[in-house]
Amino acid sequence: MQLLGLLRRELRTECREWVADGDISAEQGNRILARYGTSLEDSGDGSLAYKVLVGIALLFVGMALLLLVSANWEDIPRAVRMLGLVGTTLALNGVGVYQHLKREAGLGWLFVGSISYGASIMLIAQIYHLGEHYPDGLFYWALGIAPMAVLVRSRVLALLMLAVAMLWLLNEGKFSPPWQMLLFIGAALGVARQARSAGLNVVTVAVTVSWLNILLAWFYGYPWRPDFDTGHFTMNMGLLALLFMVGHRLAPSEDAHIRRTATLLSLWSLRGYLIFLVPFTFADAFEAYLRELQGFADAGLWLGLAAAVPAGWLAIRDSAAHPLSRGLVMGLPLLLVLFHGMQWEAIAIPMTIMVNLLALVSAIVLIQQGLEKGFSQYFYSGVGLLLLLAMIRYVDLVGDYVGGAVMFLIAAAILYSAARYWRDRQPGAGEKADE
Amino acid sequence: MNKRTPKYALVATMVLQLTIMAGVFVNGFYPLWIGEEIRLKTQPVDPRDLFRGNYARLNYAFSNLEDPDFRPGDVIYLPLVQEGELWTTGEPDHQPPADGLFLRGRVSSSPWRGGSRLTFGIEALFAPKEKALALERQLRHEAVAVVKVAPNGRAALVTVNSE
Repeated sequence: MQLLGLLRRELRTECREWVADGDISAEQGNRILARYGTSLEDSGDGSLAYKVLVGIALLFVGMALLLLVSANWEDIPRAVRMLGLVGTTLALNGVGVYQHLKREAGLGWLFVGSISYGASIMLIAQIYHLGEHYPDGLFYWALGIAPMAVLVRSRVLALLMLAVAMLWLLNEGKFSPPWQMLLFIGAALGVARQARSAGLNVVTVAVTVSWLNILLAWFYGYPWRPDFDTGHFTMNMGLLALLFMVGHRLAPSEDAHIRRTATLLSLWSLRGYLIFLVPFTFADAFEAYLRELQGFADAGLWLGLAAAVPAGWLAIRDSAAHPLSRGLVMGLPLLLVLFHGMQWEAIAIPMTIMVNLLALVSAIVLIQQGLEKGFSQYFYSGVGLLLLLAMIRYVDLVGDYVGGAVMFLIAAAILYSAARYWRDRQPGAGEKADE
Repeated sequence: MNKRTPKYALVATMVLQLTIMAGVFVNGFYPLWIGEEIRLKTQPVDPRDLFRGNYARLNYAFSNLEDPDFRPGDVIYLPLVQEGELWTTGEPDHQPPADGLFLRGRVSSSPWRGGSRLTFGIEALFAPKEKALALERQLRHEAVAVVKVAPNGRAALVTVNSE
């Protein structure tokens, strides 16, 4: 796992200082940086602040445009208002396209042009009092940006498209199953591949997971309305396992942006798993989950299995993953079938105890892995989980005061053992002990 | 991709955007151009649209439907019947009536309450905030929407008056 690869800019800066100080040669610096898909000569560090500030300025210009034209221009004739909007959009995009073709520039113009295009759709609808189905406006907005983002291979335009498409998904999702989202997901993945963007890849995966959740809600409530049910938990458990193992599978890739995608996928699916564990540490939540499950006929189970089975297969083949995560992923399909098959609320209490223990063990493993491999993200995730569990158990005492006290003593023992383990593994720890 | 392809593709994208904007315009405008004017009883309420500013949302007597034969997404036709100066609607159908004026709309799901919501494109009167609020106050009980209806049932809102 290349967590350090997510900090390439900082790495470059550090490496340049080492070279300047004579600690390493330029060749050595480049060899180190090549492991993370960058080099000493990579430009863009200095212009990043410029790009970010200009990007935010353009966003503000777009927002100002949106507010300005939203202000119901009562005194201007309808036709003039409409032609003004269309003309502004064409002019902004025209300049952007011209600059892109001439010298691969003009993204700022295209970005503001895309906002102007969306504002035009909304305001033409406003001018003519169109109120039949307002999510259509958002759909047409995202639809118009999609080909532009793909053609100019722009991450910023793709992110704008995804943001608008996500708004459409949340609004249209109330009225009908939003199948067309697949189009925007495909376009975003296309841009991510062309622009070699790990961030865009991961954002697209997150949007896809949201889309699958809304589709499942529609499966439950079809044809009347989306219904969110306990089967969503089952499906998301499977998806988290699959994303985690895909991240591990892609980690050794030769391609730096695939490696960064893999790191981000593993990290965020791991965080998702930890967040997922927390509600199930409550007996009431576990009991409600088991009570509401719809047995083997539940679509959430089959979608969960469709993700969990390939994840389990990847876990069997991937010996590099930690034994705890491998074991959990391999056992997940069986667990999901068990939960849906039994629907036996009596197992809620023992299962809650198991989840509490699992959360503790996960925290220990994360702290241990964080210290052993130098992954600060893992270390802090483990410490964070322990503190969160302690706080929850303090507010919601398990059993009685004595039970709560025992829980805190166990957590304290784990933290102390981790601290001793870390101290003992420090270089020179043995000599200090001898002294 | 050769040099010519992106050039034409980028121009085609701009044409696509222009077509979508023109489509939104034509879709809203043509009933105003060719439609027959009718007057419907309505009740304005004032919400705010995040993207489109302030508007008075118009509720009609036929805006809600509790009929299991119609599912969300279905196209619905309502025959129009004149009663004095105002028009009312008859029984909903999946097919357009053989003769006479009618409204063409769509059944939407209604996630937060029972029954379905019907939309015909005449549910929003955009106005500055103060005007929208004043409309709501003045016309809370006795408002009439002036609507133009095209021969195919598509409708467009002209204005809202007191009865």
